[in-house]
Amino acid sequence: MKRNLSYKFLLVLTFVWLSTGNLKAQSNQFYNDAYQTIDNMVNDKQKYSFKDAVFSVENAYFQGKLDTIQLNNQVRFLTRFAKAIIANRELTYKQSDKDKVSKYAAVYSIICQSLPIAVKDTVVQYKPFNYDFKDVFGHNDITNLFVSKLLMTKEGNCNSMPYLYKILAEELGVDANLALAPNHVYIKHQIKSDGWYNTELTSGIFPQDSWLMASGYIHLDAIKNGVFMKALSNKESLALCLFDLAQAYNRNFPDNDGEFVLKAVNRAIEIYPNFAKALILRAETHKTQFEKLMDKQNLSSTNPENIKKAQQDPKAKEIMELMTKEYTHIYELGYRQMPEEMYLDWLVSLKTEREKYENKKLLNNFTK
Amino acid sequence: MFTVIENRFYFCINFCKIATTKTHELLISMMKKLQVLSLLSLSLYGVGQIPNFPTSQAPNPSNLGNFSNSNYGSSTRSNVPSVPYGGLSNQRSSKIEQQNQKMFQDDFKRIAQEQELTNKKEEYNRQQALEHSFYNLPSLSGKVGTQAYYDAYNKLASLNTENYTVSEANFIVENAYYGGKQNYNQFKSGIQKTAKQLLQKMKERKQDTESNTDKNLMVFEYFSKDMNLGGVQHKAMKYDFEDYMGQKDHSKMFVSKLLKTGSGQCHSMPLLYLMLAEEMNTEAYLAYAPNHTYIKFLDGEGEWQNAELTNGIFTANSLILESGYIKSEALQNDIYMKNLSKKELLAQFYADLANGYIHKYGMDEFVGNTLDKALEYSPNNIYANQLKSMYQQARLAYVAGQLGVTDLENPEDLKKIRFYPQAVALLQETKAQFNNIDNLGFVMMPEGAYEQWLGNMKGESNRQKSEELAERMRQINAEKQKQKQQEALRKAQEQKKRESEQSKEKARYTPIDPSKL
Repeated sequence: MKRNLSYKFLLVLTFVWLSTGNLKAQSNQFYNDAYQTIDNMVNDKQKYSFKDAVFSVENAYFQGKLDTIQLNNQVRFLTRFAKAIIANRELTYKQSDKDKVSKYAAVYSIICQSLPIAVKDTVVQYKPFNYDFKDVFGHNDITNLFVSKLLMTKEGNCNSMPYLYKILAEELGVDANLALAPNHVYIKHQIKSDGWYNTELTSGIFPQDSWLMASGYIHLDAIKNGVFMKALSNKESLALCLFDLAQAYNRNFPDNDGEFVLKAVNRAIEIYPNFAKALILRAETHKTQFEKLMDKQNLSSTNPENIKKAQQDPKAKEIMELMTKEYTHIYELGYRQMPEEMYLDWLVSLKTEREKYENKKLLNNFTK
Repeated sequence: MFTVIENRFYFCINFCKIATTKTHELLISMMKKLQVLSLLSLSLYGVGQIPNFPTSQAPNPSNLGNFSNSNYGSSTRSNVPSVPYGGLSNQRSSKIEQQNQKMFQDDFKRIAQEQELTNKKEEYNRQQALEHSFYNLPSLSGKVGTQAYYDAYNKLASLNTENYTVSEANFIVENAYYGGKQNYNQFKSGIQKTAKQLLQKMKERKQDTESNTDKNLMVFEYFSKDMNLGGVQHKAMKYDFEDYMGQKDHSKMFVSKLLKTGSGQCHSMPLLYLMLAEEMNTEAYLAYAPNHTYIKFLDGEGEWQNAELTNGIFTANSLILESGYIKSEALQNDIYMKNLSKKELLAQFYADLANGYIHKYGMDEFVGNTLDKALEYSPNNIYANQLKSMYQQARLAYVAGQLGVTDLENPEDLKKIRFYPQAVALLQETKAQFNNIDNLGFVMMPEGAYEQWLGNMKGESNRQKSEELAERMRQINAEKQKQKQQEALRKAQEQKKRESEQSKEKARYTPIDPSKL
């Protein structure tokens, strides 16, 4: 069964790989459909479902070949499993929002904890999802960031794991807020005993905010402006999906003119104005457009002199000014680039300095 | 009369019966007090009305006639001769009399009605007061010295929210604690003297007395280093570890205590800093951290610097964040690490005033009002919000206690308040404030954690970094000052040149003496 699955998965991948070369079309039906689906949810024209939004993005990347039936079955299975955990486990948590907290704890267990399960007469050990240290940013293969990949292989990263968490929470009828940090996504919940707290799925720890702040790449202003560490609303989470869609489009059509990307990214920024990744992608898209205009004038972009020369074209000048403004704005919001090699060190620091950063009170609540 | 009273009373009882049957047995069993209260109020209402009842409701014509005759008849009769027409028939005069009588009656009725209305109003007010006393903490205004606090409140209220002096606002607060017996001019002149000496010191060192950064560095040095000031050896301000929260002795938080003893804590030190900065005409701001306040100012490069006075170092933001008790929500709601505006700072003085009152006298409505004023100026002020919550809890405990609740934490016990809408409203308010504080991103920082954090900050590496920061600020400022001086020099030279050119021009023309032409 599992082999069959991964075979299918490979097939889809190969198809995509083959098709990217052939597809030159700027307007792609699957991407337009995905955009429309998410946009309708934002406008309340369609019932909100984070799961549908995420799968529509991944389906667009796979050009309609995503096995959504199989994925939905998986989600349904995990939801049933979560319900079984809730029914059979009593938390020490005593406050009036216990029902809600039990659901959070169940989803957390499914993603992060190995659990003994009684199957007829024997006890089977349930294996949780694991962190995949390979290609954590999806540079080699963007599907490494996908929830479908996580469900198929049980290995994921800081993108797919919180997404799956949110999907499962919503299936159980409770909210889960995504939150951003440099290169990172995690979960925030608000409960009666503690107020807001963080769930870090890549290590299965509940870290204090000081861990994120100590990363050294979160400027005070970025927190104040909600660039990072803000509990995102459902609509703002849809903005993340729109960004994912734009990014996937760039992978499918590396030479695109930027029109679709700008459309998706602009919509994302409308919903979540201080969304750093989207702001950066927009600025980068303008940069690419500028370079293309330089190419047209046969000016090599490596020579700084040429950048001035290219701006004699009023359109190029306009883009250049826009781009400069955009980068300044991003800096002013307090965004600072975290070098990718630093990221894993920081992520691991949570485990090595667990004593310092863990919210222990919470863990006591959640254990039996 | 008697029957009427009985009727009324009967009606009262009936009303209560209706009420009781409506609210079922539960209420009967639990709400003895309520019944007494409602009975009391209703019967009071009844009694209040009874004396006026006959006159206002059903005037007895014969009675009234007699009444008016005996009292006013003479006056009407004495009026008659003044009527110009002598030959008025008896019939006619009696008609007039009747008319007059009717007018008197109407007047009488009206007066009676008015009387009834004022009685009702008074009764209503009395009831309101009764209810008010039932749902509010008893006033402490009878205690000696509370008046000083009420005066202080009015004085704070008379300050211009955007333009007041920190020295004055803080003096008002501290003086209230001392019963209004201290001398402001004496206090102020002390601050002014120090400020002048610091400016003098800057001049001696040839520092730029116009520069915001340099002046801030000077004030900071006054706190953190020994120095010779006006011929007297000044000692660096010390942190007073003993009772630093002012729990045993509230005056430990005061600037006057800091000035007297040379040691203070994280409340008094930043305030004295602000006073000196104000006198030296430079900009510095107060900022909050968990259980803590410190100073922020803009340096020559437009960057915010954090001056930590309790240990005399410039701290990086990360050092403050590392306390572990600052949630991102707290930053998004600006409860910590934000430079307070003048208005927001005034909110802190109101909260300080309320806090002093609580320490000296206890909780009553004055505390609630003062905190509401603080929150009007700065709705997210975490200090005022916490005090407000304390006040609400005290009030709820008092009101619930009157209703027979001994343990607020016990849900069964707390149920006793559920038929008193106003008590329930108080409970809701109190809960809403808990949620508000949670949503602002506040987490309780235990005292031990606070002390540890303050201790960590003092570490050698942090001190090193702080020195580097200060050095950098100084260098940049020196550079700026140099540029400024060069600029001034250049301008002066230009001016000279121009002047000399002008004088040359003048020289060209002066020899021509018009008189000699």
